[in-house]
Amino acid sequence: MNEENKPGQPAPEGPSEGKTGDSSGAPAAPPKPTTPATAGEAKEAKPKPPAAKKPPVKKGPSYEDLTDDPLLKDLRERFSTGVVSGQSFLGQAIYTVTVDVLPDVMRYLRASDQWSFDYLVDLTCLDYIGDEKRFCMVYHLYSHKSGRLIRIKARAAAAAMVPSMAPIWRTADWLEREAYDMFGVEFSGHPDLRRILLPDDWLGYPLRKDYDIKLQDQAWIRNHLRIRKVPE
Amino acid sequence: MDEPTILDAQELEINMGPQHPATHGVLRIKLKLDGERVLDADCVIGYLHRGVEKISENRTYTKCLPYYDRTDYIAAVSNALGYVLGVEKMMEIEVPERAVYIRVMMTEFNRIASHLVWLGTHAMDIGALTVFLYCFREREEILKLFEDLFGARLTTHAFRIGGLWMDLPPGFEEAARRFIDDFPTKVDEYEQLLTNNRIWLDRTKGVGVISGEEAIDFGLSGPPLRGSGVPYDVRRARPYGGYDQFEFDVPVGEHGDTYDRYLIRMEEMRQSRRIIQQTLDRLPGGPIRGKVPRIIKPSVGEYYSAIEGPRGELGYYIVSDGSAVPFRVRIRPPTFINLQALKRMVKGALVADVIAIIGTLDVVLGEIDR
Repeated sequence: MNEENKPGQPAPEGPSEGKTGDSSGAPAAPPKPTTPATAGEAKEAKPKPPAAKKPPVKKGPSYEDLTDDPLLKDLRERFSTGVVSGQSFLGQAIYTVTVDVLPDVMRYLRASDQWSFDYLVDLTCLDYIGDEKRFCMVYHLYSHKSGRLIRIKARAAAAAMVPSMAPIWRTADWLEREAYDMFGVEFSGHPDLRRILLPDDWLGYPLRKDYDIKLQDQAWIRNHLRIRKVPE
Repeated sequence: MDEPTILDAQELEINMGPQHPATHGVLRIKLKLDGERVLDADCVIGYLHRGVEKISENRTYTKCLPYYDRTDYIAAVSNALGYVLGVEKMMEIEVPERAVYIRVMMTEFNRIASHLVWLGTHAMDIGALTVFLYCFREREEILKLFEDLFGARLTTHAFRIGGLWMDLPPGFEEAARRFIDDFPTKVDEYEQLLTNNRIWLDRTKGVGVISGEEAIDFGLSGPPLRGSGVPYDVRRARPYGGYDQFEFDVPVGEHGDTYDRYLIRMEEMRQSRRIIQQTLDRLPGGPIRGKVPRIIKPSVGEYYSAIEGPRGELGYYIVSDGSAVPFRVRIRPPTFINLQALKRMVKGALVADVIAIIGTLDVVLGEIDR
């Protein structure tokens, strides 16, 4: 049971490790940070350097590798190569695993006495269009016992089935239906996978990046709303 | 000798809603009934879907803000707080103390206003019309305060990245104090009408019971979770936006029924009043907006920022790709997730109880459908 790693607080481990290679090694990281790797630190009110004229881009927070996080260690021991990376951003821990071990990891996190992440806060999806593994499933877990909030990520190819979390947390039922509705991610083992917010016979998945904001299923609108000419 | 008619059917499937006054918006429930008993229920939602998350991906960080007012329109003031806090965190923007206090104050006013709408409509659904009139009397006072400060009663666009748009107008503090001085007697008035009312007790006690374990399994948050005895309040669990500086209690129920959830919300109104009192007593001076860059461009990263809305945990998961437009803003809608438990809670109940259970979950369809 680790007390020091409360959510919201910056992860205490490895404070000096921050400036290292960051996320570049992790395949599951979002697009590479665009901030120049060697952005000169803005020196304190020194009028001398020429750079002071134009203040350099403020270096925002960046991803840091979790170094001696007990949960990461435990997951690595149990699932070895299934665990891709462990990072933190602004103090929020992110664990990336492969889709294959995802259900086992989740079942373990929920059932184990040590971690008991009994509460699925949220489940959603990100669309990295153009990547080989296009979708990134994002799960937020909370433990009522330790008060810790973590994020689990898993990348999946567009055609791949993602294992459903509904048998583990009932929360996932509607959330996965929503992810299916908006992204077209198929969940294997889901009890009742159908659209939830959009009509059942709607075509297309609106939150995909290649679905333009002005796009709509014109045939559906013509048929159901009896609008002959749908404005472009 | 005769063909079976609908009267011979053992099971009857009927639609409740979407045009039904007690469904609090356009919620449609397909009820499977055996006489008066509910065998199964299936919620059909999405009638108000506007694609707020998609819109967010096509607007700059600041331009997203007004859309979030319109998700949960009953709690428009506090809605964007989670988002604003998240962006501030990612941008490392310091918010002046005065703005922090005013935000907390307005958020708590909003919680009271929202609970008043809940109480009024919930009681009216069950048959106590008077309470509705009382509640809207007080809510009107709060809406007037909102109008004074934000210029609007409902779609307030209250908080800005880095602080507030405007400082408190003259006379605001006095008006706010007048309200909170009177408010405890008003809550007592509501309680006098309901808490020991025989009909109210019969209609709410033991109705829509859900255990703490199940509530966690369903991901409930807000009063429905606390009603089942789980003391989870985001303001306590992961303090945000200055809440660690104020004293308040988190009421928790025992039985997980509609009556306990009612008591919790009544107590929450009192606690909100207590927080407002503290903000007014200790309101610091100074600026109301921090230093904010002209263009909001968080560096590549992601942040989950959640607040305890009147209905539960309202989270914003913001993902930035380094541009001026969010890569993704995911709204964790509390009532969407709470509504999922309806199916479980109405099973075996009477049709009339379905109304009470919808009321006790305090659904807002604008947020469910987004």
